[in-house]
Amino acid sequence: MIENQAFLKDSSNKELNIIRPGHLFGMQSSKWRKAIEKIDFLFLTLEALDVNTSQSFAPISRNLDLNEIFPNYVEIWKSRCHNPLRISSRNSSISIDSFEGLVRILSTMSNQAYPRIRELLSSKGSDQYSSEKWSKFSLRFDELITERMNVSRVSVVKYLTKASVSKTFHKQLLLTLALSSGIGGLNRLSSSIFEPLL
Amino acid sequence: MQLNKTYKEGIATLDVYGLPDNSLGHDYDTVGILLSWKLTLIGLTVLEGKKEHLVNLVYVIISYSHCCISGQNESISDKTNSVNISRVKEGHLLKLTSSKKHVDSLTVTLDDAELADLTRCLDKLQADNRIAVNWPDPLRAVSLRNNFYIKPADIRNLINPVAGISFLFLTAFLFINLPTNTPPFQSTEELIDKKESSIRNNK
Repeated sequence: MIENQAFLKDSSNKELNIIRPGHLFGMQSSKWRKAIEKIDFLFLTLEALDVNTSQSFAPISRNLDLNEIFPNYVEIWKSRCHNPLRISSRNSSISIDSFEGLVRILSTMSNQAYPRIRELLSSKGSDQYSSEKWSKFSLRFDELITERMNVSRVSVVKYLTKASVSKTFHKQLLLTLALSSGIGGLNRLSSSIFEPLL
Repeated sequence: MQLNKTYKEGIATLDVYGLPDNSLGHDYDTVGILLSWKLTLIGLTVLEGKKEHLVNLVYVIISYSHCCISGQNESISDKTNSVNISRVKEGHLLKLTSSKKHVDSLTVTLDDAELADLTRCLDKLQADNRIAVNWPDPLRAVSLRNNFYIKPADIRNLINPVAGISFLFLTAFLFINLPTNTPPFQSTEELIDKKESSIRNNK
């Protein structure tokens, strides 16, 4: 398997150097599958933060000049369906352009959602208010997982168990989104995207 | 004339003071000589120092943020050990050690939101072209390091195919060298001679 270099550009038009695992005979390596899984979970976290998040996919894609890769909302949805844990998972390999497009959309959306993410991550403030926010968020997130993921798969059950036992899984997703936002966020997200989720 | 640049993000406000370095041809708005800086973490502390301290702080915080986003809980320090950050139960413990002997080290505990604020604030500083300082690029170093070396997980992935190929070759080798019950090779002439001699004997 050959590792090739990809070049994403951040907000300052600086090229981001990421090493991407290659495809072996057209098949996706486990690293790719895990990365797509991670991207989809991060998108789900954003959707759990705000019900209307999915409405902003298409405008953000247009703003980032990703019209050729994602001409409409359905194409973004189809790319996310490469997550092997989904009920309606796609077996074909995701294209490199779509993969990079999803990473860029994710970074931009996490920047927009930063105030809400920060609110959940902060340990300061009223306990009652924050626990109310947390329970709403975790409930919505678990609902989204059971709605869209294949719950008969061991990995999905493992994630749901982790989420129910402690806040660590949710917190890690939110912290990943918080650090993916802002000027250096895309760079950080790109270089860590192949690292396992937990 | 002294320049002042301010970067704000959540609880973090960073003020950088300096002068343009005319010998390097900087314009009037570029800080080439960084004289001092002040980082205010609202509700926590106020940090001040020289250029070297800020460079170390940027290196440590950006490296640590990269570790956090990668799901690693590593403790990060700079070369001189003046800045250190590590994960603790309550959040992230930032420890600043003064180079002066009589000054005690300062510890600040940041929660995840405060760490994100500080990271975003330092990102703004690094991205600002008006500050002519060579910031360290820990992200690139970590990224290349992580991808360059073969990880134990990658080696584990190779075990099954290597075992399969070895088994195939072993089986092929055994079949090639399998002893058979076929008689040793005899030429046609030898066989004819044998047959003739047996006929003669029978007669």
